[in-house]
Amino acid sequence: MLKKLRNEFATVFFILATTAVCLFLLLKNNNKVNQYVYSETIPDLSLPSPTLTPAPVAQIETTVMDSPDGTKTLLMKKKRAVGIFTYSIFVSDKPGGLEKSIYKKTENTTHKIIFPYNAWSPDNIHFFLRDSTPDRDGYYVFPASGQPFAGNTPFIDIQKLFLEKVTRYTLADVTGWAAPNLLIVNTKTPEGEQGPSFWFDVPNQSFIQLSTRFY
Amino acid sequence: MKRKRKKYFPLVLRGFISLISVYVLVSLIYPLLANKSSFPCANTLSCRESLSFKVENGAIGIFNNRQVASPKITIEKNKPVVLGTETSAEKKRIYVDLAKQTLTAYEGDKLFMQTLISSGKWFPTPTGEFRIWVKLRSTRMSGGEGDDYYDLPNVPFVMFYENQNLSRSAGFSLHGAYWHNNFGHPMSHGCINLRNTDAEKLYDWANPVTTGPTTYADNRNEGTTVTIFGEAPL
Repeated sequence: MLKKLRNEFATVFFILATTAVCLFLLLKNNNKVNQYVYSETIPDLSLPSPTLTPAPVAQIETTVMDSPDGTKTLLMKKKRAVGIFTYSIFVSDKPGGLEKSIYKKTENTTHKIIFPYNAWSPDNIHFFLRDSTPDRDGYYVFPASGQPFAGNTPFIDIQKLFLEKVTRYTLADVTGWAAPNLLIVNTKTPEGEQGPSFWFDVPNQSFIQLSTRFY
Repeated sequence: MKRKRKKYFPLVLRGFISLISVYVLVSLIYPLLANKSSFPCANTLSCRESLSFKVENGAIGIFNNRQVASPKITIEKNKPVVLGTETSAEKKRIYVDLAKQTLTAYEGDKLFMQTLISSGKWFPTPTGEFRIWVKLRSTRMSGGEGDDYYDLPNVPFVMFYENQNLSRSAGFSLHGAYWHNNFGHPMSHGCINLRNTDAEKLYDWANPVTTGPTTYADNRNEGTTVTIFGEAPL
């Protein structure tokens, strides 16, 4: 009887001890996960936007966007006149390279052309810009060399090409470059819900639908 | 006397065997349970390799099934100090907001820089308070599989960080990313991607003070604190 009791005691002790040690180690670990304290408040600072240098004499605004590796820069000069803006876009090497003219366009004042933060392709061969009006956002890809694309076109109108090639969705946003030749295009369904993401393959001028969505 | 010894010997032996068994079982069960709260390696195929300085100029990388030319890495022996990057007695801190996809760096109360980043898309970026334990001028990172496979030589300005829950071998870091330009949106496998120019600026400023292509933090040259918080838009 005593022997049997002793055996049972040993088994219970064995199970309890194993459980206790495991629980202790797990609790200790979980405490560490929860111990982060963010005591310092972070001011809500707005991101640095491209340098905007108003030139009061000539009524020209200049916007600059450097490439991610810092070797090239995009320059946009926006000249004001009555009811219109004339945009001139240049590319130059850094530091202090010559400005090469890429494109010039005159628009009414409802248009707003900007360089997105991710304008440059990772290999600095292309860049894209956004032309916004109250009704729509247009996205255009340019070769940074100034040499036109096949068909002698100075740029590709992504919005127009998307309307021609993809009928099920509408283009919502172009965020940046997934690889040297691939622009990330987000879409909407006709019901206005989030659609899938696409890659826009610049050399092939084709859209590739993705299984994962980019945000 | 002999009888008493005979009686107590099996009890002592049984107790000893029980203790050994408890130890063996704990060492088998605990890692299985604990693994749920630890992080696997950020670069699954180059887990250890990524933790060492490596330069492969001219090597081609792969990302999103596309070939990418890697940047040339040159090691400047006497790199000129960029204004604002000199070390000071003020405490340096780096904050990464995953929800806004931004990085802000402070020296005391003074803002040093703020920029857009890309955090984990294919694997979540761990949140918490970390410390930089080594800075590498460049290394190779590879991982993923299928369409998600990547192999990237000459990853520049790498700052690996750690804490009690994130081991050094997990290989999470802040670094430059030359293979994409989609900052402000999740794009990485868990690390914090920065523009190369931003990564260089941060690398030159952050502690430990750079002493060569590989700089380990120690008691006299402590690493800057990195606080990562928020939830990435996924």
